[in-house]
Amino acid sequence: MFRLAVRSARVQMARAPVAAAIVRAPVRFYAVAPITKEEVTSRAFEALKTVAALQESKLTLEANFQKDLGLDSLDTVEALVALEEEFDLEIPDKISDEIKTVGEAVDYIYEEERKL
Amino acid sequence: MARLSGLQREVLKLYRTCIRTIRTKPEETQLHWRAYIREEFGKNKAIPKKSFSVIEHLIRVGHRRFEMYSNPQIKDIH
Repeated sequence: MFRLAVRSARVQMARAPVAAAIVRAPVRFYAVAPITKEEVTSRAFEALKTVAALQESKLTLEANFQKDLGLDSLDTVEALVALEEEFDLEIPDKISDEIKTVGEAVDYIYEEERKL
Repeated sequence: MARLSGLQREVLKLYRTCIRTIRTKPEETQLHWRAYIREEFGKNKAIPKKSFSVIEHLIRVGHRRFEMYSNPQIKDIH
Protein backbone atom coordinates (compact mmCIF):
# COMPACT_ATOMS: atom_id res chain seq x y z
CA MET A 1 0.00 0.00 0.00
CA PHE A 2 2.84 2.35 0.87
CA ARG A 3 4.75 1.31 -2.20
CA LEU A 4 1.69 2.00 -4.26
CA ALA A 5 1.43 5.49 -2.83
CA VAL A 6 5.07 6.17 -3.57
CA ARG A 7 4.69 4.88 -7.10
CA SER A 8 1.67 6.99 -7.85
CA ALA A 9 3.45 10.01 -6.48
CA ARG A 10 6.37 9.32 -8.82
CA VAL A 11 4.07 8.89 -11.78
CA GLN A 12 2.50 12.21 -11.09
CA MET A 13 5.87 13.86 -10.92
CA ALA A 14 6.92 12.35 -14.21
CA ARG A 15 3.78 13.49 -15.90
CA ALA A 16 4.05 17.02 -14.71
CA PRO A 17 7.70 18.02 -14.70
CA VAL A 18 6.75 21.58 -13.86
CA ALA A 19 4.90 20.46 -10.78
CA ALA A 20 7.90 18.38 -9.73
CA ALA A 21 9.66 21.59 -8.89
CA ILE A 22 7.23 22.08 -6.04
CA VAL A 23 8.72 20.29 -3.07
CA ARG A 24 6.27 17.73 -1.79
CA ALA A 25 6.21 17.42 1.93
CA PRO A 26 6.58 13.75 2.82
CA VAL A 27 3.28 12.37 4.01
CA ARG A 28 3.32 9.82 6.77
CA PHE A 29 0.52 7.35 7.23
CA TYR A 30 -0.35 5.97 10.59
CA ALA A 31 -2.52 2.94 11.17
CA VAL A 32 -4.09 4.60 14.19
CA ALA A 33 -3.83 8.17 15.28
CA PRO A 34 -1.75 8.52 18.46
CA ILE A 35 -3.87 8.35 21.57
CA THR A 36 -4.63 11.64 23.29
CA LYS A 37 -4.68 12.30 26.96
CA GLU A 38 -8.38 13.14 26.86
CA GLU A 39 -9.09 9.78 25.33
CA VAL A 40 -7.09 7.98 28.01
CA THR A 41 -8.92 9.94 30.66
CA SER A 42 -12.40 9.26 29.37
CA ARG A 43 -11.71 5.58 28.83
CA ALA A 44 -10.18 5.34 32.29
CA PHE A 45 -13.26 6.97 33.83
CA GLU A 46 -15.55 4.55 32.01
CA ALA A 47 -13.50 1.61 33.25
CA LEU A 48 -13.42 2.93 36.79
CA LYS A 49 -17.19 3.27 36.89
CA THR A 50 -17.42 -0.52 36.68
CA VAL A 51 -15.71 -0.81 40.06
CA ALA A 52 -18.61 -1.40 42.39
CA ALA A 53 -17.44 0.35 45.51
CA LEU A 54 -16.45 3.56 43.76
CA GLN A 55 -18.40 6.78 44.29
CA GLU A 56 -18.88 7.96 40.73
CA SER A 57 -19.83 11.53 41.49
CA LYS A 58 -16.40 12.26 42.99
CA LEU A 59 -14.47 10.90 40.04
CA THR A 60 -11.90 13.50 38.96
CA LEU A 61 -8.26 13.42 37.97
CA GLU A 62 -7.19 14.72 41.35
CA ALA A 63 -9.27 12.23 43.29
CA ASN A 64 -7.30 10.03 45.64
CA PHE A 65 -8.52 6.45 45.44
CA GLN A 66 -8.68 6.01 49.17
CA LYS A 67 -9.30 9.47 50.58
CA ASP A 68 -11.76 10.82 48.01
CA LEU A 69 -13.30 7.80 46.37
CA GLY A 70 -13.83 5.86 49.57
CA LEU A 71 -11.96 2.73 48.49
CA ASP A 72 -9.86 0.50 50.69
CA SER A 73 -6.53 -0.87 49.56
CA LEU A 74 -8.14 -3.98 48.05
CA ASP A 75 -10.63 -1.84 46.09
CA THR A 76 -7.73 0.24 44.82
CA VAL A 77 -6.05 -2.89 43.52
CA GLU A 78 -9.32 -3.83 41.84
CA ALA A 79 -9.63 -0.40 40.25
CA LEU A 80 -6.12 -0.63 38.85
CA VAL A 81 -6.75 -4.11 37.48
CA ALA A 82 -9.91 -2.75 35.81
CA LEU A 83 -7.73 -0.10 34.16
CA GLU A 84 -5.21 -2.74 33.11
CA GLU A 85 -7.99 -4.68 31.44
CA GLU A 86 -9.33 -1.62 29.66
CA PHE A 87 -5.95 -0.65 28.24
CA ASP A 88 -4.64 -4.17 27.86
CA LEU A 89 -1.42 -3.63 29.75
CA GLU A 90 0.05 -4.78 32.99
CA ILE A 91 1.08 -2.24 35.61
CA PRO A 92 4.09 -3.63 37.51
CA ASP A 93 3.55 -4.17 41.24
CA LYS A 94 6.07 -1.53 42.25
CA ILE A 95 4.28 1.17 40.26
CA SER A 96 0.81 0.02 41.31
CA ASP A 97 1.80 0.46 44.93
CA GLU A 98 2.86 4.03 44.24
CA ILE A 99 -0.29 5.10 42.39
CA LYS A 100 -2.56 7.01 44.73
CA THR A 101 -4.73 9.18 42.53
CA VAL A 102 -6.70 8.76 39.32
CA GLY A 103 -4.46 11.34 37.66
CA GLU A 104 -1.31 9.37 38.44
CA ALA A 105 -2.84 6.26 36.93
CA VAL A 106 -3.89 8.17 33.80
CA ASP A 107 -0.41 9.70 33.47
CA TYR A 108 1.24 6.31 33.70
CA ILE A 109 -1.11 4.73 31.16
CA TYR A 110 -0.65 7.66 28.79
CA GLU A 111 3.14 7.33 28.95
CA GLU A 112 2.91 3.60 28.32
CA GLU A 113 0.52 4.02 25.39
CA ARG A 114 2.81 6.55 23.77
CA LYS A 115 5.73 4.14 23.90
CA LEU A 116 3.87 1.64 21.71
CA MET B 1 -2.43 5.75 52.60
CA ALA B 2 0.53 5.47 54.88
CA ARG B 3 3.51 3.67 53.46
CA LEU B 4 2.87 -0.02 53.28
CA SER B 5 5.02 -2.58 55.02
CA GLY B 6 6.57 -5.38 53.04
CA LEU B 7 4.01 -7.81 54.38
CA GLN B 8 1.07 -5.60 53.39
CA ARG B 9 2.57 -5.26 49.96
CA GLU B 10 2.76 -9.01 49.72
CA VAL B 11 -0.91 -9.36 50.57
CA LEU B 12 -1.85 -6.83 47.90
CA LYS B 13 0.34 -8.69 45.44
CA LEU B 14 -1.49 -11.93 46.14
CA TYR B 15 -4.81 -10.13 45.82
CA ARG B 16 -3.74 -8.61 42.52
CA THR B 17 -2.71 -11.97 41.07
CA CYS B 18 -6.04 -13.45 42.19
CA ILE B 19 -8.07 -10.64 40.61
CA ARG B 20 -6.06 -10.86 37.40
CA THR B 21 -6.69 -14.58 37.20
CA ILE B 22 -10.47 -14.06 37.29
CA ARG B 23 -10.26 -13.15 33.64
CA THR B 24 -9.25 -16.70 32.75
CA LYS B 25 -12.52 -18.02 34.18
CA PRO B 26 -15.77 -18.28 32.21
CA GLU B 27 -17.43 -14.90 31.92
CA GLU B 28 -20.67 -15.80 33.65
CA THR B 29 -18.82 -16.98 36.76
CA GLN B 30 -16.45 -14.04 37.06
CA LEU B 31 -18.69 -12.19 39.49
CA HIS B 32 -18.77 -15.21 41.78
CA TRP B 33 -15.01 -15.37 41.80
CA ARG B 34 -14.71 -11.69 42.60
CA ALA B 35 -17.12 -11.98 45.49
CA TYR B 36 -15.42 -15.10 46.77
CA ILE B 37 -11.93 -13.61 46.69
CA ARG B 38 -13.14 -10.47 48.46
CA GLU B 39 -14.88 -12.53 51.07
CA GLU B 40 -11.83 -14.67 51.76
CA PHE B 41 -9.57 -11.65 52.13
CA GLY B 42 -12.22 -9.84 54.11
CA LYS B 43 -12.38 -12.62 56.68
CA ASN B 44 -8.88 -11.73 57.82
CA LYS B 45 -9.25 -8.00 57.69
CA ALA B 46 -9.20 -7.56 61.45
CA ILE B 47 -5.85 -9.22 62.05
CA PRO B 48 -3.53 -6.76 63.77
CA LYS B 49 -0.67 -5.42 61.70
CA LYS B 50 1.94 -6.80 64.05
CA SER B 51 0.98 -10.48 64.00
CA PHE B 52 3.61 -11.29 61.44
CA SER B 53 3.60 -15.06 61.75
CA VAL B 54 -0.17 -15.28 61.38
CA ILE B 55 -0.13 -13.12 58.28
CA GLU B 56 2.83 -14.99 56.81
CA HIS B 57 0.98 -18.22 57.36
CA LEU B 58 -2.16 -16.87 55.71
CA ILE B 59 -0.19 -15.62 52.73
CA ARG B 60 1.27 -19.09 52.27
CA VAL B 61 -2.17 -20.66 52.55
CA GLY B 62 -3.48 -18.07 50.11
CA HIS B 63 -0.82 -18.91 47.55
CA ARG B 64 -1.59 -22.61 47.81
CA ARG B 65 -5.30 -22.04 47.40
CA PHE B 66 -4.68 -19.66 44.53
CA GLU B 67 -2.69 -22.35 42.75
CA MET B 68 -5.48 -24.82 43.31
CA TYR B 69 -8.26 -22.51 42.10
CA SER B 70 -6.30 -21.19 39.15
CA ASN B 71 -6.55 -24.64 37.59
CA PRO B 72 -8.58 -24.09 34.41
CA GLN B 73 -10.69 -27.15 35.15
CA ILE B 74 -12.22 -25.38 38.10
CA LYS B 75 -14.77 -23.19 36.43
CA ASP B 76 -17.16 -21.88 39.04
CA ILE B 77 -17.43 -21.23 42.70
CA HIS B 78 -20.55 -20.84 44.78
